[in-house]
Amino acid sequence: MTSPPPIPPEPKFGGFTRFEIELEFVQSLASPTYLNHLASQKYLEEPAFVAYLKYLQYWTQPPYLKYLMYPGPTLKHLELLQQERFRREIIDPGVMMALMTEGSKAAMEWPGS
Amino acid sequence: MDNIIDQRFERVEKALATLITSISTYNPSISHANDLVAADTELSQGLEQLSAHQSNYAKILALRAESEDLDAQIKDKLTLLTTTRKELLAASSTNFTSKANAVDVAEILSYASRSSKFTRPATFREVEAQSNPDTGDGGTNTPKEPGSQSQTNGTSTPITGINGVDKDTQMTQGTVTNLESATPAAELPSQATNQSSQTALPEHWLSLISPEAHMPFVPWPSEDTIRRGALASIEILINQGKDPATFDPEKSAELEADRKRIQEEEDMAREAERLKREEEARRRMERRASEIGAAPAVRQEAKPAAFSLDMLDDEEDDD
Repeated sequence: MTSPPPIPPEPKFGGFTRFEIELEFVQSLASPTYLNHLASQKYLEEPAFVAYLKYLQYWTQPPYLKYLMYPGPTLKHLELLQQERFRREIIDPGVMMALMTEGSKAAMEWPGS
Repeated sequence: MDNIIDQRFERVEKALATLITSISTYNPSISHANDLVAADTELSQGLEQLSAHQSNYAKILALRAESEDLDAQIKDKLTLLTTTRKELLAASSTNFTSKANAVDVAEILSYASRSSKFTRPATFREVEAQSNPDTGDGGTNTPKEPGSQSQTNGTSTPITGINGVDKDTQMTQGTVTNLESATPAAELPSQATNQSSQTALPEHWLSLISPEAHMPFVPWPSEDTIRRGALASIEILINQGKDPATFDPEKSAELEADRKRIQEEEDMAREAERLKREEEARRRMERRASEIGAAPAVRQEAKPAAFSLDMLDDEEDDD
């Protein structure tokens, strides 16, 4: 009976697996303040970064979806970030505040009683 | 059974009677006495038989009763079974739509329990439809107005060389275990007008157990959380010049331990040197003082005294 091939050890970056790092990054996108910070550092204008954001959409599908601890804002912001208009506007602190108020309110009221 | 006993009794009586008549006619015959003895033994045997017969009869009655009892039980169970089956068939079942994503119940529950910490404020209370929904979360301990978001400032500058940022807390796991004891009454549906959360911990305990309970809740990771995450620690590594691709935290733990040990040894060496220097300085002072004063004899006394003083001082220094 041949045993299945041994699973290669997962490569770690800085002591963390790629899964952990990407999960952490995609969830930190849930924070409007972080989005604003990224925009101010001009990351959102780099095509490589935009392509990475597009790639990160795999978190919207199972079986990755179940690992999100902050699912609401994460998925919402991920989707918004795919649109260029949003990437341009999020640098504005007013837009950021609006996102924050909206998010906090939604956390209180959803799913509604 | 009774007949048998009666026969035995009769035999005994007859034998007794014949014996008595034979005695009364002054013609005692031993055979009559033997007859009597035989009849008596037969009688006792008959009595034993009788007792056996009676116990058997009792057993039969008991077994009959037990069997009837069991029969009744079986009947009951069968009727129960049929009624339950009818109820089951009559109970309405959910109709699954064809597009339903088959997810394990246990998985859903574990996910809900994990993510609930991060998707609702900890002291949130569901309110009955009648009461005013705006005061629904009036029972919360921390104010939730959006204006309190000022804590997370918009322009968070990148972390450059923050010392002592620990690498643990990974948001992926969400295992902030100290939160579990913070607000035990978190998700209970309340009585509508229960303004002050009576089942939550008292304020001073709450602040000791969980510092997060006092911070305003946001449904996303706060700046603090992000700074404690993996990305931040990788950034620190890069700033320190180490290559994250080859960085091994276990080996680095050993290196850290070694480094700490070496540092501690150096510290101790430095302390010892400092103490020695102080002792010498003090001795010099004492010698000078005693020279100014009296005879060498006093100096001899002063020296041991100086020694004892020094010892005391050393102990104080060690604090």
